[in-house]
Amino acid sequence: MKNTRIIPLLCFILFMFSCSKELELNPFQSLSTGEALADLPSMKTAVFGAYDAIQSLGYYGREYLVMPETEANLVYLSIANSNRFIPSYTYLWIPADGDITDFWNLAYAAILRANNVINNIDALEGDAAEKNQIKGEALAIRALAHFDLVRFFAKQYTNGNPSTDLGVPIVLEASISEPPRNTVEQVYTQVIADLTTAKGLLRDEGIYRFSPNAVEALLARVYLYKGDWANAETAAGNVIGAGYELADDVVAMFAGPGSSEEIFTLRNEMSENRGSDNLGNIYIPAGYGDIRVTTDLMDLYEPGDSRANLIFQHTNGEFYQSKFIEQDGVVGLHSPKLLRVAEMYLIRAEARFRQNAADPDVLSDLNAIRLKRGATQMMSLPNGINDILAERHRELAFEGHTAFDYWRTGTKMVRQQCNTGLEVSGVCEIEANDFRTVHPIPQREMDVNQSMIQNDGY
Amino acid sequence: MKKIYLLLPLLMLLGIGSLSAQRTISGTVTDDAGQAMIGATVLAKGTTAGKVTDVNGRFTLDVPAGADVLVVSYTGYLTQEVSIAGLQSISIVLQESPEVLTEIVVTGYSEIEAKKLISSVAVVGAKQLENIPMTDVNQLIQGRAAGVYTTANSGQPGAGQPVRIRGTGSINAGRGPLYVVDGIIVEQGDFTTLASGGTYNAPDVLAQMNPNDIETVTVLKDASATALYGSRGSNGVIVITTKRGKIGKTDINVKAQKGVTLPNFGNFELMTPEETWNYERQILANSGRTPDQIEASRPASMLDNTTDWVDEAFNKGHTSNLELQARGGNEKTRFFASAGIFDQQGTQYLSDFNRLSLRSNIDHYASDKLSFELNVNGSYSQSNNAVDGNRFQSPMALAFTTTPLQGKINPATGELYSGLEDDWIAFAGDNFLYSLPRNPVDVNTLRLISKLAGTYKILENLAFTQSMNVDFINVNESDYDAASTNDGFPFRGQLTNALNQNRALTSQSKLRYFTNFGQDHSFDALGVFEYQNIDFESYWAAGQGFASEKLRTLASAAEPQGVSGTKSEYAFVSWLGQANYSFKDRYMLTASLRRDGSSRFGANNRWANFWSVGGSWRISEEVFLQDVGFLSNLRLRASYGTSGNADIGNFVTQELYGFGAAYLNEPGSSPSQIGNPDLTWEKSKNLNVGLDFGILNNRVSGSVEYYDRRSEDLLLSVPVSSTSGFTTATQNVGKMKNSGVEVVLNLVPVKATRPDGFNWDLNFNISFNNNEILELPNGEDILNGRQIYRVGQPIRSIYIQEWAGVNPDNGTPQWLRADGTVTGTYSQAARSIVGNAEPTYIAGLNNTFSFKGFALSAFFYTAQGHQLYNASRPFIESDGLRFGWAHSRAALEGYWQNPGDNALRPQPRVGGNAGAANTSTRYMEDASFIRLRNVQLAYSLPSAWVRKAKLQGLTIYGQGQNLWTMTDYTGFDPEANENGDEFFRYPVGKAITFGIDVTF
Repeated sequence: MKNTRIIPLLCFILFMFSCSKELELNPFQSLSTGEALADLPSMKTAVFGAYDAIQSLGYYGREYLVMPETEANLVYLSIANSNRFIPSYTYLWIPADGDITDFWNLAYAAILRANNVINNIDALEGDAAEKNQIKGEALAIRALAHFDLVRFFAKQYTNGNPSTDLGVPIVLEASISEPPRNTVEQVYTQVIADLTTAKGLLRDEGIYRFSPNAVEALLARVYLYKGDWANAETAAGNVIGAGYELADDVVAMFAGPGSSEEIFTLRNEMSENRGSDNLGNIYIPAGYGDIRVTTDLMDLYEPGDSRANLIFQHTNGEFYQSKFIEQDGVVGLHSPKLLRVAEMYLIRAEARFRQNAADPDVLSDLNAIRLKRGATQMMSLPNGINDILAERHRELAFEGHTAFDYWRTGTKMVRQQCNTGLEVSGVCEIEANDFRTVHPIPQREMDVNQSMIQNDGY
Repeated sequence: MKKIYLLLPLLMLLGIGSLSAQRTISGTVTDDAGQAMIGATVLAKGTTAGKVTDVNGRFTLDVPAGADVLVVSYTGYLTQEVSIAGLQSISIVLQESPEVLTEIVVTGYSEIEAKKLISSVAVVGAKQLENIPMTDVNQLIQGRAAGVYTTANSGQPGAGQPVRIRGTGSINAGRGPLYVVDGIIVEQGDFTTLASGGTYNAPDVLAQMNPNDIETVTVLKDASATALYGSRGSNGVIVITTKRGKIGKTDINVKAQKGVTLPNFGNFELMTPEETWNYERQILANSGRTPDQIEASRPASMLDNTTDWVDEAFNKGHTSNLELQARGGNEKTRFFASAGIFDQQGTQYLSDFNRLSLRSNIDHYASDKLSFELNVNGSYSQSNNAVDGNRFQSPMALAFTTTPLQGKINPATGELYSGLEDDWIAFAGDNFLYSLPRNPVDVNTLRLISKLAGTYKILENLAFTQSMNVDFINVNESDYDAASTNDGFPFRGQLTNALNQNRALTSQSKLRYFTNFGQDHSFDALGVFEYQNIDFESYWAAGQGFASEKLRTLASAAEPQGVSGTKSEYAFVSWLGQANYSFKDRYMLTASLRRDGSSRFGANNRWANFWSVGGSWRISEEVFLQDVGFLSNLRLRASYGTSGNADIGNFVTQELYGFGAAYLNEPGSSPSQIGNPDLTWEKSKNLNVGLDFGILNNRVSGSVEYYDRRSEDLLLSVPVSSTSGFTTATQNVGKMKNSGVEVVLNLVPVKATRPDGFNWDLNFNISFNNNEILELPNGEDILNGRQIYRVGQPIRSIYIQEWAGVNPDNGTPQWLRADGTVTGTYSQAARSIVGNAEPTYIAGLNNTFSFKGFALSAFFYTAQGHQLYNASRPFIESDGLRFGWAHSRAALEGYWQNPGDNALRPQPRVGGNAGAANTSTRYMEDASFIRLRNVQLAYSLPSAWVRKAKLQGLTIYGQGQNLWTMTDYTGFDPEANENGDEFFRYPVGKAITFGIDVTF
């Protein structure tokens, strides 16, 4: 049968086109981890990737700056809304909430990006100063993300039992695991250690990247949240003494990044225009305009206070804020000024007050800001800490501090403007130790991480 | 003797006339109506001498000595053997076969006679596909093929729809079948860049194919059929065969069609403006607002300018189709050619699809040994696409959620509101009536599928075929947002253009062999080498800042906004072989083996083997059943084998850093995936047992099949703790089973005694599928949105909180805790498995009545026993959470008013009532339905009249799609996405079409 001999022959010929090589294909737009972290320029690219994570919509792009405001009393959520930020205004949190989950995921994504730099850079050849700068930035980003997580998902250090209260998992290296929550104290210790190390490594590369002063300023904030008044005072004082000037015109300062007051600003370029999802658009009528200014805040400003010029009345009679109204001609685009020197004065005032309520420098710190902003000089603090908090509200309104300020100082949050018909039905007051001031651990983390323990009440 | 049956029709023709003649016989072949049959095959039995009838149905054949029987055959007709002993000429009348469409079954790499079939296949023929005004072949086979589950989830003309064959076989890898056109694996799905971000409904490239070009669609379901497709066969294979030329006079066929589509919202209804106004005033009162506050918030003047947004967004759609087909040829060359223009306007404002398609299929027999096949199919479509819910301008979300208290016309200007005005009160600052015409989303698709194949007969029973195929897809997208609309406003106008190109090259070398041993044994074999390389490249550019809305090119943009591109490639190398053996046409055995390598898989696991075995037994041919007169066919079939699923991302095995991030206008990088070099294909083990039967001369026929399909090494995106910086990791873990029963029944309750007598055909099929997850990593549950993957449960298990009604004391919502007690705090409510989104069974029933020239057919389709989570309802039945939006009319009734009320829904309040609108069984519904999918009345003019007009045939018809549906489901349409979530979408309409079909 000569037929049957032909079949194996042909099969053999076909075999000659052994195409195994054709199966070795590699992607065109990604690199293997080894290639991506091979030298210092790629390490710089990797640390910029970490900045990109904290810039995301779910973190400092919008959500993490807005939630601490909608949870407090300086703004309200209009009944005419696009269905955003309702849980934060009504305090009806559910663990499956998208904003909470996004923030958790993004903060840990930033930590991974930073860890890959921190843990691999020492082995590389190259300029030591450049290496230190990159590593310092990565450490600062890792510290910032851990700090932002712990103040959001755990009881405040100054309003609980930090040595036993559950914080968030500390993650220092890339690993697929199910880590348990560290205590609040452990997280703070790690954050301070990372920032302290970073301070010794960094040089000044401008306000859009972490510098020694930026890390010192962040340390001042961390010490304040920790109730470490002496260190907070020192750190804040060091930054104030480093040459930052309070801006002469607060409205001009918010027209764009780069003022004399800024210590660290997360730069958003025009190409990072998110359209209607730009930070400012949630606050202005030309955007969603869901979040408007309460009489609670309006009442805090005295005539002549230039900070009230960042608030305007719309034709519908309601008040809106314009801190984030425009940048580079793009509506709603904003580069958040994450650390500015006005906050340092406020931190130092508070730290001094806590150590000695009669310290005259408390008033001089507060008045340093007040006089620049066109407000009258403050001669005393009849309401003690509440007067300092009120000054923080006037100065830092909408910048993502307000709810944290209530909770860490153990102050009850009261909405004077509540259920008047303009707002979504909300909670008119909330105690600082109410379980709802601590956010639930995201449901998806609870579902996959067997070591995770949910916060009380959820 | 039987050896001739093994030859393919193609080879039969080539073998003609190779022996010396002993005597000559001539004759005619006609059908039972007396019409000449052109191209019928006439063979002298026991020899290879044969001829094909000419245009007058005549033949002249040189018959070798000793041969005194002629075998006359024609596709679709019963083969006849006639004695020619002592005859010089003969007239033969062929009877139409009851098994018209299953004579030859095409399985992609080969064809097989229906009676020798071992595998489980479903065949849908041209008669069932033709003239239905749908763009996508998947829509056409719905309900026609047992075991095939497909749902239309968008009314966008040209939109694709998912197909699941014998249940869902995978969790994270592809779940759709492989598509094969004329023997070559082709591309499917969405090749757009901009749509994949979820901004609009992308057209499916399958919609590029003209359904009227299709001869048959064969669905391969079991391993003995799909193992030939190895690593890509486990989700089933849809084999499409296009029409080819035939010997004889050239038929020219013209089809013209015109129709309308009416919007269809099922049981869905919104409140009128008055109802909305009253309801919202009530909500304000419930929330403790004073009469003054209510008056200020909802004054009566709001009723002065109102709009029915649904009515504005949806209108009558139009369909028209014009087509020319020609087929003909001679013994040397045959051709089929078609050209069609299809134009469909959807029911939703400004959504349409039009397609220009051309096809030419040519077969040429250069000699007895050498033949060629050339197929060229080019098509170009343009569509204007409906945008999805995450855009302001999307009518899909806004038509159903914008308050009717918002007028569309601005009284100050007399023009349409843009939505950016201060007095625009609707929650989204956009009027889609204004923005849609200004913000077009256009997609133009060019697809070219071309195949050249040459076959050389090395020996009488050994043939080699080499084919080259190119499948080229070019998709051009343009998305413009005008500066005066909310989507374009923050950018002062923006434009994004994208160009996507996909090229699939396939080379297939095929060797076929057959032989007979003695009288009773026959054997054939197939060997194939195949190499396929697919590369995809796309780039897009966006610009912002347009001085005028009339400027619509990137050149007029003030600033570039971004440029990006992507490129990707993958390849498959495969060998496969198949052998078939049959004994006395009674016992059939088959075995196949395929070896596949793919670039998609890790270096450690790049190659894999797939195999199958099968057999069938035609019991009715056995001697002991010869006397059972009523039994015309009885056959038992069984097969077992493996196939795979390689439908995952191209580079998932590699640990990678991506470079999409950026900071300070400098590049940023980030880990984009966790590598896993051990990743390999999902494997599926497939058992199939079937029984085919035919009783009373096949007046009653059908089949019953049982299958058990086990998918192993499931490619799972296993959720990981996000503390890792990732949310999922891809692993080969998990097992799943699909088992089920399919029954097909074809009846002829009334059989016409004369060709124009009354005839009634009934076709029924029903499929039961039972899905169960057998294994997951560490046995741990995996959450998937509102569903859960849990061992022992079906894949589409709905896992949500259970609603426990309204608290009669205060009108607040209640849910169940894990221990079954009631709670008013949502976060304390427990989730449990409360439903399944996959139907227990699906069935199709088609009745065709014909009398004289009339034919009436009605096709019903049903899916029963599944649930949907109606995710639209939390928006329109939100108990005040979405105050100032549109509300479902259902929300007017049964809400709590006074203590003691046993109410259906909580008291509506501004900001909602204690999270009542959170996910719970409150919004889950039974989605069972029965639908009259198609009804058609056709009239063919009597042939005497037609002939006078020098025509061959003329048929006029009218038909309706989806005219009637029975369901309790309250959303638009119970035919929702397979994920079991309904969310505002583009509902499929009811279509009425009239057409004319003329053959010259």
